[in-house]
Amino acid sequence: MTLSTLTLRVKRHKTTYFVQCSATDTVLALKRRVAKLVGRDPRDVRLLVPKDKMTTTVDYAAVHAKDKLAELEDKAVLDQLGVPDDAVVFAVFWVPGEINAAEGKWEPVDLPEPAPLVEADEELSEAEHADAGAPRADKGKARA
Amino acid sequence: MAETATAASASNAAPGATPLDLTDHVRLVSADGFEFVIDRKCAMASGTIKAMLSSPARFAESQHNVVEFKDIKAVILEKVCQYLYYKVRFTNSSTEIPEFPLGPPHQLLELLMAADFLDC
Repeated sequence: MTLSTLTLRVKRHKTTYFVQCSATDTVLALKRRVAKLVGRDPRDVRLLVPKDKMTTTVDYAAVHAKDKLAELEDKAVLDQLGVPDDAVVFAVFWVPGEINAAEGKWEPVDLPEPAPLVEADEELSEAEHADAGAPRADKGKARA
Repeated sequence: MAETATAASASNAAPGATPLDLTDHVRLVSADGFEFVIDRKCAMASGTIKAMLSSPARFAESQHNVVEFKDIKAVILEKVCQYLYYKVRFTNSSTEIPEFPLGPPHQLLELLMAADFLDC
């Protein structure tokens, strides 16, 4: 069997959902999986990707710039869209209006950037520090 | 592989009021507050997470399917999650196994420490 499974990272705010689907799935099928994970209706979920090229890394500047993201259409098939394995997809939810539930709007894409790792030089001294008695790696596991 | 994925979603209970009220996914939280929701099966590929989730009532994590890692940053935890999927996919596989991309060199030390702690 040569089913190709894609593992996609669907990101929204500070959460990344690892979602597995088939390359022959439609965008709607992917939305359904995401919706199930978050307990929402698939129609209230919108998936977006960078306009130029789908990548496995996140360009935080592009994500927040206007017009750099394109919405994925429900009927499109992932394989035909050229979605690579380990691609990053952005999700936003529909926010119903406070007064009139029918009049809502889609959330803006908001992706906070995670804390960067320290520079290589500082990292070495950090590691020495960690070795000198931080309880972290022990947890009662004896290692030969 | 696709069958496993569909079986996993088919067996979900109806989503509860709280998001992620599912028993087949696990939420991992990094030191800087980022969350990664992964298949339970892949989470179990980490010996440490498996122990945390399997011990009856010993760890609070086993009850809520949430594990917090106060020492692991998001960038590293994400790489670990990707590795867990890679490990599950290619363990006992007869197909050619591609090399796992470890990422930039300055990240390797923290990644190694996290992998050691997580026993994966």
